[in-house]
Amino acid sequence: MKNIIKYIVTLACSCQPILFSQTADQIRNRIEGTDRPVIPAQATGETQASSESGNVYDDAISDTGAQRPVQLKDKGISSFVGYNSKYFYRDNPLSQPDNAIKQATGMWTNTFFGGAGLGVFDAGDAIITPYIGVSYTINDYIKSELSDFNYNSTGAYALLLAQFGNGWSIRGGVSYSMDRSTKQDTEDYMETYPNIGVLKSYVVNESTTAIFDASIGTHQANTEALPIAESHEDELSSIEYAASYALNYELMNFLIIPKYKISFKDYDKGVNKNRNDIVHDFNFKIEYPFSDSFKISTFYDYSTRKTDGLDDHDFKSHDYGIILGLNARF
Amino acid sequence: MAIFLYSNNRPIVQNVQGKSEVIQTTESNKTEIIDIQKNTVIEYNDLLCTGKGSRAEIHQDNAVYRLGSMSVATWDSNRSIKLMDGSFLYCSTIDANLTISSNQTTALFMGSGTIIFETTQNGGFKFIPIEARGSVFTSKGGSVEVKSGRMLLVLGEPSYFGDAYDIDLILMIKTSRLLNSFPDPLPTFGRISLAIYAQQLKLKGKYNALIGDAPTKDNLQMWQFGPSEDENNKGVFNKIFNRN
Repeated sequence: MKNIIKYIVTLACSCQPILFSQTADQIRNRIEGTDRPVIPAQATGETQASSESGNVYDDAISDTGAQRPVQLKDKGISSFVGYNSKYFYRDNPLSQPDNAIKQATGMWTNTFFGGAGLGVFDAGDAIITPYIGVSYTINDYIKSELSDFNYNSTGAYALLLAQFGNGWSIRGGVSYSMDRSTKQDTEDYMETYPNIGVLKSYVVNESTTAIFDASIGTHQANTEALPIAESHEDELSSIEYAASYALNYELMNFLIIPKYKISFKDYDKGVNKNRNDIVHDFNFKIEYPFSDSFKISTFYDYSTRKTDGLDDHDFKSHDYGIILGLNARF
Repeated sequence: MAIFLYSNNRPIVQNVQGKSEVIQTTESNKTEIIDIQKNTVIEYNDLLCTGKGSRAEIHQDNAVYRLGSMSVATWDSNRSIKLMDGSFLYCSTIDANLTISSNQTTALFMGSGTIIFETTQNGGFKFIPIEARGSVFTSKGGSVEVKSGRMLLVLGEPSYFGDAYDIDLILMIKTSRLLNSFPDPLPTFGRISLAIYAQQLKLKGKYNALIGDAPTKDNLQMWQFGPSEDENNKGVFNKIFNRN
């Protein structure tokens, strides 16, 4: 009931202070429901290895193998830039609870990102690679009533990745995220996220690769700019434990990626004291690469959140849409 | 016990594909040709020969040796091999000294790794470390630090190094029967994976050419294929859309 009232008030009341105090809550809901993949797959190794022609030189006389000369960078310092445009339907854009009206809408997000690998270091049993990167995302709601919620996200990260020969990799780093309201020009949310994680990829069969990922990190959040009464500026801070499992299945030129992720968040500040969230997310994506640097994807995503310790925070969300991705490595 | 130790210290055949033979010279200078099978013990100075499409895997003291098709090799002693013709793989996870020689030249590898040797028409050989750590010595060329994926040419007597080339490890591994035509994976599988991973991170571009034989000490055959333009010289737009 409380959330229905909030929704009605938001739509009906033209009084700016009240409207803003209500949208602040909704912005917080939106923030809580936002997945923040600030570390791109280029850094974590989650991307499919670049597809090589599968030609085996069956007629080669020698058993040695084909020797194709390559050119390598001396110190392994590399950089990448990219752009993703995502146009999708979201049935619960503000992460409203089940008993609230959800204001389904289309969303258009445009992300510009860049990063660098700062060298390749052989540590015996592992290859160590430090990465840094930044991203900037413009998030626009298509529905005009929701355009007040449009926001821009800035992300940055520093990461140390150790890849082992058995397919496991360990990473540790810190990322930074900040959401700024497009209309109000206020910093609605900021967090730093020190985290560690492991990733294991292995080949299931000739056309399928499996990727397991697990991570733990602490979201050190700040929502100082949101004028919510009796609110703690750091009450969205939490410790997050997450695990995911994905299959990359190659079918002709398509890459089919079903992925399941579960995460547990433990809150301990303000009204969120003793609050726990369990989030299940199922994502199904089909990618078509036109080249190593240009691909188009379509996806469906279903996520649910079950909250203990705080009423009316369970939610479900369906998203589906298309993504255009460009990236270049240097 | 003595027989076991004796056998254990000699190269022992672990896998044979096709037809491979050992040519033994007896004390009375007679030659004897024996088909090798699993568990055949190779005596020092026996000639080990593989037929067309045939290969053999031999183990000795934690080292794995694989002899490629149409190859002839002999063990002078432990970790001292003469490759007269063809191709040969050495794999060891522990640091050791390996002397490898061909009809005209010799090199000493000190370290561990997975290395392929291939003879060339000029009497030398290619030294191709798939993954390796250590150094390789020649009498005239001194020592060179071995880098995974960097092929060296070893030439002449006294021996010296020819040119070095970084080669595409993914293609090498996909096409090398010495690496992928045997039932048991090499113990250095993880290290090979890491070498590929490191090379991919450092990769700047690939040349549209394949390295062939070295008929003379000054010549190395290079087979060009596809467009001659180096992919690295493409503009960003062309690079994104794979346009030549």
